[in-house]
Amino acid sequence: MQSTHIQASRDAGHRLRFWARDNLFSSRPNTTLTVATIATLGLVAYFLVQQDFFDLDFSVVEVNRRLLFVGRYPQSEEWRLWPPLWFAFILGGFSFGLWARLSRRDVLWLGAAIVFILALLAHGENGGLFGGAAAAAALAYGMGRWVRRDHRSRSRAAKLAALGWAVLIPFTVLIIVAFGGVKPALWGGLMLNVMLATIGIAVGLPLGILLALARASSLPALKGVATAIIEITRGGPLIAWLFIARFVLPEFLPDALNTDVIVNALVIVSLFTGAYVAEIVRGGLQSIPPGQIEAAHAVGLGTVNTTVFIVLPQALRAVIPALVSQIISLWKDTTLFSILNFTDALGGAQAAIAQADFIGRQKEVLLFIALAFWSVAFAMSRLSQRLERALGIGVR
Amino acid sequence: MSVLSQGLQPRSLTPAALWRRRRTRRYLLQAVFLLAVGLVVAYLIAQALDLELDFDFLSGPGGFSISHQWLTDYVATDSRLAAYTTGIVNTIRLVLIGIVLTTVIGVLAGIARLSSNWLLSRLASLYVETIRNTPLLVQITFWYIAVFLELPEIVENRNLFGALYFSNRALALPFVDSDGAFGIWLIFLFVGAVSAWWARARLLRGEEATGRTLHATPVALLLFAVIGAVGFLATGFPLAADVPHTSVTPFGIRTIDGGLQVTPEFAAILVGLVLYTGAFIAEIVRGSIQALPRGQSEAAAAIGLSAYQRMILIILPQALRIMIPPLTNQYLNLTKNSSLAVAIAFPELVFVGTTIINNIGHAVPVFILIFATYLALSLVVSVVMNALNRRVQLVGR
Amino acid sequence: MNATDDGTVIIQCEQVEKWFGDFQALKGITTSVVEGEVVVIFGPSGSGKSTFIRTINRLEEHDAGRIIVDGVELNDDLRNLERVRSEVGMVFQQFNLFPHLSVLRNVALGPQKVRHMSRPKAEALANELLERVGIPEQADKFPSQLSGGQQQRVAIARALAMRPKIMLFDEPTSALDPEMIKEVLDVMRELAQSGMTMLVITHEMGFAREVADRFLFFDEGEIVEEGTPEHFLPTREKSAPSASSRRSSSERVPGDNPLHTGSDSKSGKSVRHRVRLEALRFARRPSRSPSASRAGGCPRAGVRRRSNFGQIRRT
Repeated sequence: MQSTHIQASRDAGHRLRFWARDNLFSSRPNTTLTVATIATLGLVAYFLVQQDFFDLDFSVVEVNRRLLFVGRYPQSEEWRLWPPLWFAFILGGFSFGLWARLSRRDVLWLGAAIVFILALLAHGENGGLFGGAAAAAALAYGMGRWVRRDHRSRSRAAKLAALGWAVLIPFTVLIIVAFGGVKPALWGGLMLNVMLATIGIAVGLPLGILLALARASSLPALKGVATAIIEITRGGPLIAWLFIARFVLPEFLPDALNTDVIVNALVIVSLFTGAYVAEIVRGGLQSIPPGQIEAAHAVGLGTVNTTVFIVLPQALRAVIPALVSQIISLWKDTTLFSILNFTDALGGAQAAIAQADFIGRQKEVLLFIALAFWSVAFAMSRLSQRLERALGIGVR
Repeated sequence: MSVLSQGLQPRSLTPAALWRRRRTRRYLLQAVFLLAVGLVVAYLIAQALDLELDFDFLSGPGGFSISHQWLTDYVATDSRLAAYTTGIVNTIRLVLIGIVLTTVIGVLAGIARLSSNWLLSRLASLYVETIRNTPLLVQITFWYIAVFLELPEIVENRNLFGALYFSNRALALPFVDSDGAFGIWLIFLFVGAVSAWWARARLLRGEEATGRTLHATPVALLLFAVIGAVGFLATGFPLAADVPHTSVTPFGIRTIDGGLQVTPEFAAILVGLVLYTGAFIAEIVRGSIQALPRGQSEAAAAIGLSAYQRMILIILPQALRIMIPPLTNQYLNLTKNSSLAVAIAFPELVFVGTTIINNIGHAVPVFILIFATYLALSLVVSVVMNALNRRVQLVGR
Repeated sequence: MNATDDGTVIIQCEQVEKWFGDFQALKGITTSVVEGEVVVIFGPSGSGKSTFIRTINRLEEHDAGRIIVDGVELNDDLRNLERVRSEVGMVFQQFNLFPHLSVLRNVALGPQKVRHMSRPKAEALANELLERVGIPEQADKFPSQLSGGQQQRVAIARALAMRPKIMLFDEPTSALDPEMIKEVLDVMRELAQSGMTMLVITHEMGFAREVADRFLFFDEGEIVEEGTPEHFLPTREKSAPSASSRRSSSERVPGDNPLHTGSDSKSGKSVRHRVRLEALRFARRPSRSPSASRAGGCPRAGVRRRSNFGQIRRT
């Protein structure tokens, strides 16, 4: 018994040594590289330690978590945020179960994220509500897995999920704003970033598809106007557009539409996203072989039906990776709203840094914000890779 | 004997009703669309007529000072146009240096990701995956307020090897200082380069003709070095090392003098831009290299090239062809992203533009100016890269 | 209806012209097709045969002349276009199945969206047609999971799903591996026997001889010759010994035919037996190339030269 144990550990040691030889010290240049890399890392670590870089204290995040998550959103109305969150969690879990499968690594990562949030960020009542949402999502995932066994119930569930996604944003906005709710001007923190990104893509995606179709159209008027809109929009940086939303747009809009700078900025962000989406979709449209359109015409489908049922599904599928990159890009770009003095996550971070109690704690706050954005963006990019693989079927 | 004369009348021989013709519908649709667009534009113009649209304000005095200047000497009493020009120059400086550095970092990281060395490839993917998925603005803010502004106070006189000073007021790197004869020496260098080029070409032709090895490249380099050295002596040492040093003013304030001084603002925006764009370029480089058939690397190995030679002579030149269009895109992104410098008050063109708007309004003309400037910058980048692309494609095929 | 002594005319073309820029693809095509007729079209590549059948469902708009399909004139009228498109089915060389839809959806889409059939009804029809073309078990697969022959049969089912009166086939077997050609030709043969009006561009001589009521020979945008199968490709009593060794080749090769020299049929290599359509062209202008002299020497019995429309001078 004991000898096999020793044998096993010796094997492990052997394997490690072989692995190191193959991957780190396979040749003289390789060994040099390894040594140089380790030396550089050591030097950097020494320098950082010397500069007290690792002297971190995250209490600034904990104290300011309201500021970072919801900004100046009134505490009395916080209950309005939970139904949409639960809705989104359940929908997300259900959809994931319906179309994909959690690997062991996924479970590990998700579990770690939930534990992290419960332990450090959501205490007491909020912890319960968040934990409940996570549990509901897990339950919904199981339901999704269960439903997908049967072909018929699967397609019905897919329709249900699609409907859910379609109403998610209107539902969220309604719950937050309606019946004496909270105006967008008071939205803040990460919640504002999430809302900006989702609304931006929800408006920008259809807008971009329309612009792309118009630009690919054979009608010169549509083509010309769409090209002009796309090129002008893409011509300048987003921050310039946001400044336009703030300085110029109010001069042009009729008073009835001129309620909130943030609404103006949202319109501009949607347009900006639409222009970039349009260029992506245009690439997809160009990848459709003309035979597809001819075949659709030969079957008797008209222009609209051909576009909706034959061209767009294929074009969009071809550009999923680029579209997800664009969504990730928009998600990161929502931080630009802090330049317009909105209290989004980064704006909240700057406010937290300015507090007298936490002088010198910039690193912690910014690292936390970076982590929040990174985890969502990284998860999205991985999800898109999986989606690509899953959709490999049916693609030529 | 025509079809029709046989009495085979089609059901609808009359021309189609006007509204059912395809052409009619096309025109109608476009007319309605243009009308709608026209109405919107007319409304916008009507609103714009109430605004100040002229560019006269640009000749008025700026009234504000600009902290970072390079090749410009704008002062607050100069015109707003001069202020804006200073902003443009600052943007160009940022973009030029940024593109060079980010290309180096991106190419190195992209190659490192494909390295067979586990440590190096893991380090490179860690870099790419963290930086790419984090907002650039958060990174720039981090570099600014958590790194460069957190450097020691200037009084602490912190330095590396007495040559590289770092403080929260400025980073000072050793540089070279030139005197008036520098220009003359440049002429020497130019002559050296031309004659080295000529000599190499001659020797190469000789090699091809005789088959003997004439060491064309070393000889050419030697020639260049000799002419350069002679020129250096003849012009009386026009360059000198400019090592930064600190001194204390009579009022007891320590300052850093000499060397190449970089402000925290410039350093933060530059590091942020370079690292962020570099992560995307690394992915492009990796993708382009992986897109090459495996046989290329194997064939290169088969004729006895070393790993380094394979990369430089065989892989990169081919990958370059695939790389250039997406690389151009990244350069354009870097150009536009340089505007994020407004967040840390580095006076590039958007910052100067919005400062003018804050002072005296005229938002519409200022934004027209800003967009025109970005359009021009993007055009320059595209033209240069397209020229490069054409050249690479020609050489490659 | 428009009846002639042969039957009801369903397609009439008169002086149809088509230009691609400066290139004239069709130089005044005049012909007609009666209901239930199977017309096989030959011609070298670039001769305008493909352009011609594409004008019949207006995938190409003709620039001059008239085309009347089932009593509906093809013109700028959108309603006519819809009517003709839904009554003319087409099968393409490259199948052109919709890769993002399952086989069943590929077939059911047209009836559902154009004929406004309910989805269960359309899918029932699709299943029925898939059965008819012999692949009912593939209904839930995607096109990329099928072989070329299966894909082409799905494409035929897709065209049939619109219950067309006319079917156009644009080289339906040219993109297929030899062993898959037969399964597609079998379906087409069955279709021809069922009385469908068909216009077929193909190089499969055996098949053509078997099903065609009439041939059209295209060259440089004109119908240069027209004939019946007996005239063109007389059936050989004894089959070539080599032809039976490969099924697909026996389909392609009609044995000895007047367009081939004796040396070809002697050699027993099935490939050599294929009718080279280029030979047809050279038959007209013997001075073009050395091979022309061989082809020119062929017996020309049975070939009807066109004089004017509808009137065929027998030689």
